[in-house]
Amino acid sequence: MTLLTRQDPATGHPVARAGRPRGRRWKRYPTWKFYAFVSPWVIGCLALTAVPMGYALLLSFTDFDGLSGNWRWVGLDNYTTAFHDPVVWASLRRTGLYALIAVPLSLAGGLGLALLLNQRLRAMGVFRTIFYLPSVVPVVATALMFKLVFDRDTGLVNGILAWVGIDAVPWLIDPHAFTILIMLSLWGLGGGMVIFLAGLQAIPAELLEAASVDGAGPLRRFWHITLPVLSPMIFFQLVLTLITTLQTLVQPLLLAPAVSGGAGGGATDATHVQQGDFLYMVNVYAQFFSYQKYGYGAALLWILFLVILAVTAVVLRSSTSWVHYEVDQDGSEQ
Amino acid sequence: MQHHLSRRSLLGRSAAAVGGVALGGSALSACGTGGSGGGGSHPTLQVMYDGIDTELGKQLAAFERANDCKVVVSKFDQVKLNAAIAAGNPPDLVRTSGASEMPNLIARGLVENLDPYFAKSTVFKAADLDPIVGVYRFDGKRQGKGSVYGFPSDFSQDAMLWFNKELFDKAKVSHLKPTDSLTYDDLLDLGKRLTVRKGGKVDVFGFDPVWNFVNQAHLMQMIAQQGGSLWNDDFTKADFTTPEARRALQWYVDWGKARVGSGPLDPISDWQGPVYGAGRIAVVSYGYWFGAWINGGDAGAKGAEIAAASGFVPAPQMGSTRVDACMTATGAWIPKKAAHKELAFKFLEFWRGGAPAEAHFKAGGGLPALKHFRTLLPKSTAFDADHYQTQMKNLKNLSVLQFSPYANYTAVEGAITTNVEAAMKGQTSLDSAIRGLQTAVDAVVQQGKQQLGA
Repeated sequence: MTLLTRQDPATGHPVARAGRPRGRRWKRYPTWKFYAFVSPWVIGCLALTAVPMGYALLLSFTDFDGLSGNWRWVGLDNYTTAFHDPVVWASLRRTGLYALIAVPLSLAGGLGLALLLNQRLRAMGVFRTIFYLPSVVPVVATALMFKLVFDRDTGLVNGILAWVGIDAVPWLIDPHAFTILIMLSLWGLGGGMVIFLAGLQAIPAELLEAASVDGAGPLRRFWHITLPVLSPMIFFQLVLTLITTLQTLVQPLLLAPAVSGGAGGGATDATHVQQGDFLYMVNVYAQFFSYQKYGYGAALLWILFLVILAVTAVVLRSSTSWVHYEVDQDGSEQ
Repeated sequence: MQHHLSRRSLLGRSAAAVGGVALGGSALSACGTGGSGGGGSHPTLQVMYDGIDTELGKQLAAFERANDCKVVVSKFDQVKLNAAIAAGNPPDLVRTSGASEMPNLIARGLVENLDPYFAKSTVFKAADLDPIVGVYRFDGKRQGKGSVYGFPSDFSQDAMLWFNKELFDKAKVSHLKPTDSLTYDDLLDLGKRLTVRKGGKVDVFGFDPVWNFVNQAHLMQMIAQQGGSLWNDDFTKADFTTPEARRALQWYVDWGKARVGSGPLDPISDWQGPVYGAGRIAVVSYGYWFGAWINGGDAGAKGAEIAAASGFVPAPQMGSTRVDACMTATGAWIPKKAAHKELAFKFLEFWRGGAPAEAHFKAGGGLPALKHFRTLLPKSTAFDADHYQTQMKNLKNLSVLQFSPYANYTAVEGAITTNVEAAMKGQTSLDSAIRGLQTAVDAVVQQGKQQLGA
């Protein structure tokens, strides 16, 4: 399968294949049809991404509190404050650690499951469905289930521990809360598993057979054939999972203890999130909605955006040394 | 006619399209607002108040028929409220915790002055208003004086104590007496005796002061009982470093470390009501309204049993000055930019001056802000009569705490939670927690002063 367009080696511009005059097919359609077809995406991108980002950038230079009409320009004060705020650095370090643990586990887990479910066994479709199901359960439901299962006084896990004579463990508070957060992040392995499974099934059987004939064992076949062929998918998954993980917000909020109150209380609040789960985005959320510092929160969002941009750039750059495409950049098959 | 596309023309025309959509959207939005606004014949009243629809039931439809309107009730959501206010399209009636929130909301210019509405009202008569309505008054500097900006659903002395007599009997501890007021230290000792642990779990929490529920107000009360004050006279400075404040914070840290209630080291998955209803809290700090909650069946299967076994006594004391304050007086306010302010006030009159209010107070759902409803409070059972007597005798100790207009309520609560919980967990010393708290609240007040131009 060739996804890349052919390029002129001299200019780097795309070139049409021989026998197909450039742009000929497009010219058959009036321009308005082009705009009609691209407009949903363009409108969505500009209205729901570019405009909010621009608005957040403007907010980041103010002390807006989200409610009052009285606000003023503060220049770069919010950014300066952020660089000197120990909570920001602590939450950033914690988010980095979370990504360092959760992303590799998620990739390895997804790949491992895909390898297991790529066997020719009876009822394999049922197993695949079972492993995929958790990833379609909404995160809110999953987090609430985790809260019930790991509740210290009434949870299933401590019930089992009590049955074998072990004292209850306070899973949902520090220092165990971070472990539970990691476990929750792995609950959606099924999504990655499906993508890896598709990749595994696209590996030409003759490659694996040739390696077997040459005496390669399962490990060598995995290391020298399966992994390189899957590397574009691993790369794709790595970039997406990394970005999502660095933006994690909902899971720590949902795992946090309930806020006390009168009847109808029991909601969660960013300031109640355990220290171990106090990720960067939780701090951003707290700044917005607990401390009403919309300007400062917006500055923190822009800092995270730049961090993610930098991390993604590093990953993209590193990909040239470990991602193997079946086609060259000029579109010719290797 | 055919055109070649360039990136520039693509971006330009797309931006024009987005602009068109945005303008169209704004126009539609404006039409929508106008349509349901003062000129609309069937206005839609937006009420942001948890559970008000369940409470009103069929009475809601009666209000809609009588006023030729539609009432849409939504749960209180701070994020949605902020967004709606920022968009200039707030709900017509909004829930508030009352005492702790109102000065800051009013000072920010968000709340409609209800003086003209009260002046015309035949339901809310000046002579019938309980002084607790002062919680919703503000004169530009102080709470309790000046114009009125909202109305309480009901009120209670929020730090009073409910206790489960059966759990006391099991622990062989004498019942609390409605005539006495315990000290906080005695109560902590009592909590330790009543707490039941088994296999690393807590079966029964001995004493739950409901940490994280209006913490600022509880601290203010504990400080006031010692003769001190958290805020200075003009509410521009909160001092957490005074001996009185330190003692109050030290008590909370001791309580948290003793692990006798649902604190940060022993979180529960819901609010304290259902846990008390399950017979797992021996003493909990709530006002008079909590009796109706237990007795109303919401407390679960054991509700009636727990209700019959519950006692009710005055709030604990930390010093020689008797203070047993109303910390909330939860109620509702009308945003200045609401589309249907007249109709919202009518709803307020109906809800807290009409038949729904009668039902609410007959069940004992708090003390009424209209004096004439007080005769409705339940006294028919021994349980109700005991609690009524305790409450009435304790009213002489009622006071109303005054909060700073410069400090956002949630921001102060967040600062208290973050810093004091770190000390409870042993992650920092009390002195360090106090320093962190002082810095955080100073910053909140500073921001508030700048925004209010003070």
